[in-house]
Amino acid sequence: MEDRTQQVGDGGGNEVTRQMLPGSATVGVTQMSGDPMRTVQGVATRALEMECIPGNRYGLAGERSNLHLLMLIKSVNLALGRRMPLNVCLVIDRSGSMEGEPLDYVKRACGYVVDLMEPTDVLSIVTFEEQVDVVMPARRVVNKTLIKEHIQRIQPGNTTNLYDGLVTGCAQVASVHAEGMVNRVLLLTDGEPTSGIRDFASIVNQVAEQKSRGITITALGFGSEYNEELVAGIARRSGGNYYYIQRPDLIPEVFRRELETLMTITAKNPRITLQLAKWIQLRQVYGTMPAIQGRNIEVGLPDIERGSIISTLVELEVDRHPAAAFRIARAQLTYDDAVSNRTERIEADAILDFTSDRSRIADGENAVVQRELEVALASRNLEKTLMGMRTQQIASPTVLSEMQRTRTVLLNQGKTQEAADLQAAMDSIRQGGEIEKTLIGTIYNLDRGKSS
Amino acid sequence: MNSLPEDERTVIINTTSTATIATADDTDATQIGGSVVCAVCQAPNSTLDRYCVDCGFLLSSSVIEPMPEEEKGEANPYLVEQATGRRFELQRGVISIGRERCDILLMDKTISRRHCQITIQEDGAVLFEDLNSTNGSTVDGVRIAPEQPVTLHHGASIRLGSSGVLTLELPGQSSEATIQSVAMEKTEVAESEAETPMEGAPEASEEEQIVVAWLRPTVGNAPDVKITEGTVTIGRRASNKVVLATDPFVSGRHIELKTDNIGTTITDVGSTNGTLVNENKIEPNTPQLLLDGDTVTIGQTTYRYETAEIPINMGDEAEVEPKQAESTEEESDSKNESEIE
Repeated sequence: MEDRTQQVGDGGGNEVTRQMLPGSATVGVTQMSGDPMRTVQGVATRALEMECIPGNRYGLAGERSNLHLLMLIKSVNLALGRRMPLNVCLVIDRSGSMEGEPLDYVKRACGYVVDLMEPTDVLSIVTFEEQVDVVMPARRVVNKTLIKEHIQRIQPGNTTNLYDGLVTGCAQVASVHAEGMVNRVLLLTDGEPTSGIRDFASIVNQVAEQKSRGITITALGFGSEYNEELVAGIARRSGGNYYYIQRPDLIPEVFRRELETLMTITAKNPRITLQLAKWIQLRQVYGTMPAIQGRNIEVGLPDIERGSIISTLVELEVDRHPAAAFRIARAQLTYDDAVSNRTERIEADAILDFTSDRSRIADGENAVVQRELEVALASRNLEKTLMGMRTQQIASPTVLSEMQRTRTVLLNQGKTQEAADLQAAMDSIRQGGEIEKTLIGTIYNLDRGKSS
Repeated sequence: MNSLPEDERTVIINTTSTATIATADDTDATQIGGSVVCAVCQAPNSTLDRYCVDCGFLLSSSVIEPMPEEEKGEANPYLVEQATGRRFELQRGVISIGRERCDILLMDKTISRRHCQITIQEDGAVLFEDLNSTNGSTVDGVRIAPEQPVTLHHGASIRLGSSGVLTLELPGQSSEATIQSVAMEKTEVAESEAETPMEGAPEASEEEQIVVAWLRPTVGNAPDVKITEGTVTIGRRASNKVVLATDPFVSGRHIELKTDNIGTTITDVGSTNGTLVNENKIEPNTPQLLLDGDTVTIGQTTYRYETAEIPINMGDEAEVEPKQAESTEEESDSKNESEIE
């Protein structure tokens, strides 16, 4: 058995400034798990903790101001008693361009997935070209040899009917009626959709609909021909992961990494509802489009893996308040918990002390919130750079210096993975390579606010 | 977060967790208890609440010093985002609107980073200018030439890119314009905003919608409930349009009233103690049409449903005496006049 610790990082380095409130989620009794494959230590009563941190704990009484508010969700970094069983559909592009090496590596990658899964997991495989084939309907992963035989029969076809492939894959996942599974479609494509429904809006709307039914899509773009705007857009709308796979030999590794990520999910379908008090109005939620209903703001979050941290940063407009303590907002986090095996709700209040004493304002600033803001702005800056590059309004030297500047910000804020991605992209620019497929992923990752 | 001084903490009778229940998203959580009026916003609160359900004031504390001025910028115009009800106050000077680093941020991909700006002049005139945005702007359905300021009137509906509608509300002018818009609405079956640039757009804000009917308590001095066009939600929680926070028999989300051109329907949205219409309990989640004179019992209070005499503009606080524009007088039915009283 391989070590299933998540690859992205161990999270040990950047938790210095974070302090969780006492009592929000305490470590419970040690408990044996039914899964013999995994090491069991302690079991927390809940998978997540949440803090709701205002950018400044003081507000100036009698004045209007803008205020940042950070919802920091931390997955308890303890070994889990059990992992959630997976219900995964592999949706594979077998259009003509996949012929040869790419498809060979895809078959190998699918084989890896089969090897990693256990009899409690469900797997289905769908391929698409002009037509869509269900290579294997949703089944428990029991007879691994037989599944691999199915995989070997995949042949290249002609065009790319991504939409129907996606819908069929989601239907396979939906056909499994079992609670408490991680529902996920892994969509691999190497080109633009060329048949069936092809427009961005229809595809992304379909993704949103699947998301509302609890199915997340991880989007894997392979090679240099796929439409990164579409593939990353699918991941973004769904809250799934986005991967850019440059070479065919990397396909198995990426599949393995994604599977291992899925196996560490401890909180499914998390969403935050932020209830604003009177005299508080939303300006923006960084990196995502919230659903606003009067004073209630709902933000959907990606599934959360063990040991990772999700930050959601919002900007509020604060109207004039008298000098007193106010609860300016109440955040409510709802999610399906792998530890307690039920839907959990966590609440956190944002309290602000309004004061007439201007000198206290500077003392009240919160460094963590400030840091998250820097990261959010870095992401916007990257987006601008990307756009400028596409429209050729920014020349390469400017792009490089902008990226260098952003990279420095990210490094300072502890976003080492994203900083490394940027470094790779910059090297690629210098060699005349293309970077948009990488950059769009970096922006997405920053916007998701996920770190480990 | 736990930054409250110790002396404040000791006064608090309830722990956070019980306060949680009172506002939790759970219709079954109907509480029995007395009420406390918030010292800041005067909203009634259950004694179980630690913070005011409406303004968030720490109920066990006291206001150290009152606000310098009483009224909160009443003289300023507002821009109202129709889809969400967000209200943006427009203070004197230039207000930038766009997706990033603007005074008013709108989160729509078809809106440019700096899309347009509104200038409030010294005399209160409102100028709108599109800042050469990618997808352009329309005012009352008419496309605005970029970088050429146009004057906005009360009720103007602005659309940036393909985002939702923003409506301008000017202080003071609201009553006439609203009545005018009602008159127009009655004559026009379907208003196509693209065709006719209108004087007063019918999309009034939540606060300034026309009162079409009232729920007046048959006994006691509970406040009247205004029923405006569209949907009015009633319940104990602050997220309702009408908050009945003092009655413990009222559920968090209790009823929904929907008014269209046919009439007003009442729907019990799964309240704990139910809703009576003319003493009969209505089926939950089933709309029922209300008729003038019907009685409606919500929690411990019985109301009489009365359709409004003529459209009355509800400004900010009090009931404004209706200014009767010529056109509306003709429109108003004579039967209503006899029924009120």
